[in-house]
Amino acid sequence: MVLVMTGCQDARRPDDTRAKALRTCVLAGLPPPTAPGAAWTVPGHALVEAYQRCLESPDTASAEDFHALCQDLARPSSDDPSRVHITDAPGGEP
Amino acid sequence: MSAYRILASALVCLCSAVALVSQPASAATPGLTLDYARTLEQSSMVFVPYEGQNRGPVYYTQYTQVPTGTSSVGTLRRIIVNLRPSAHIQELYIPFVNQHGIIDVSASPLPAHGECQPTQGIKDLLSFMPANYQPTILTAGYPVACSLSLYFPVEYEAAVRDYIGTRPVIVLDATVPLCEPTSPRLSVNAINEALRTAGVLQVSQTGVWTGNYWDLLYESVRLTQTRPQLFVTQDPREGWQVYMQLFQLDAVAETATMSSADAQQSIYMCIPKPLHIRFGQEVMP
Repeated sequence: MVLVMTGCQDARRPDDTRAKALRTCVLAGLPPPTAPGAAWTVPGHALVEAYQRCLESPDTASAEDFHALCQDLARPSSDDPSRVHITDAPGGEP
Repeated sequence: MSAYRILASALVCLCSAVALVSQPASAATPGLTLDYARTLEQSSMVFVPYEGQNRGPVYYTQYTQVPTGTSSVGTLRRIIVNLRPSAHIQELYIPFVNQHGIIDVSASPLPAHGECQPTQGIKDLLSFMPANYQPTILTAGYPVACSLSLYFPVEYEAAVRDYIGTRPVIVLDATVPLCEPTSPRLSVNAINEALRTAGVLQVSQTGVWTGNYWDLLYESVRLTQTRPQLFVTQDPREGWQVYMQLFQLDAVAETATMSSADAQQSIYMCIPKPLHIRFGQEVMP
């Protein structure tokens, strides 16, 4: 049997569109920054709740999925572990 | 239905929002937590011990004004009027302390929780006195809440004593932010164990808890939804906020760590039961 190896294309996750749509939805569901130009921090639970609301189905919720969402979206706040900083993904757009 | 509040630091502050608030009353000794579940109330005395001890502040809800003898200051006379707990005058304090083995830390409700002022009536009576000799409130030593210094000409003594004997000359207004004895306690360990079962947290042999921050965030919020009773507050997110703030973060590694000491805490989530202490506002019953 001959195995034909095809070259791998550059990574193009089939759920890229989903990831972008989820990110857009979550950003829209977060409490806005308190002032223009101010650092955008939200309660951590607000981020989780926005994620849950933006899912097509609750069955798709998972810590791994949430973790992936947060990689481009937020970072922890050392000052207050109950809050997170909302960041802009490099080259990303709302 | 009572609302749950969380009062977290040494400051005395009551806030109505969901946000983190300061710790309730005044530990007369900073750094010690009052054990509201063991509050004792008897004969206008309220005793709240510190956790694990029988020491604590005794607050009084009834006071009596007690004038001292007259002293001479040049051509003037002076009387000090002390606002003394009625329970002391009625000789109820010592039996109360002895009965319950109380060690009184001698905490005054003033100035932290209120103030004393001369009544308008005594100010009017002595309004002719020079500015430096007007009725003046003095800081007093426990158990006296405050004192009032009165200067007057010698011929006014009878009138002043009669006035003191028949109506208030001091207005005391204080509110000590105590908590309901039934205020729930947040068991940090119970939450940690639930998250360990979920595979989010690990505990070292020295009792230090660690985990990935994002996993902790996600699963702890899910816990407020699936097991809200763990967070004991009416809105479990209030208890959740207190819980999360016990962690130290490594923002680069995105890990969260809780010390062994914090992990063993049982944190009061105060239901406010303010102790109002008033004197002189109303006509004596």
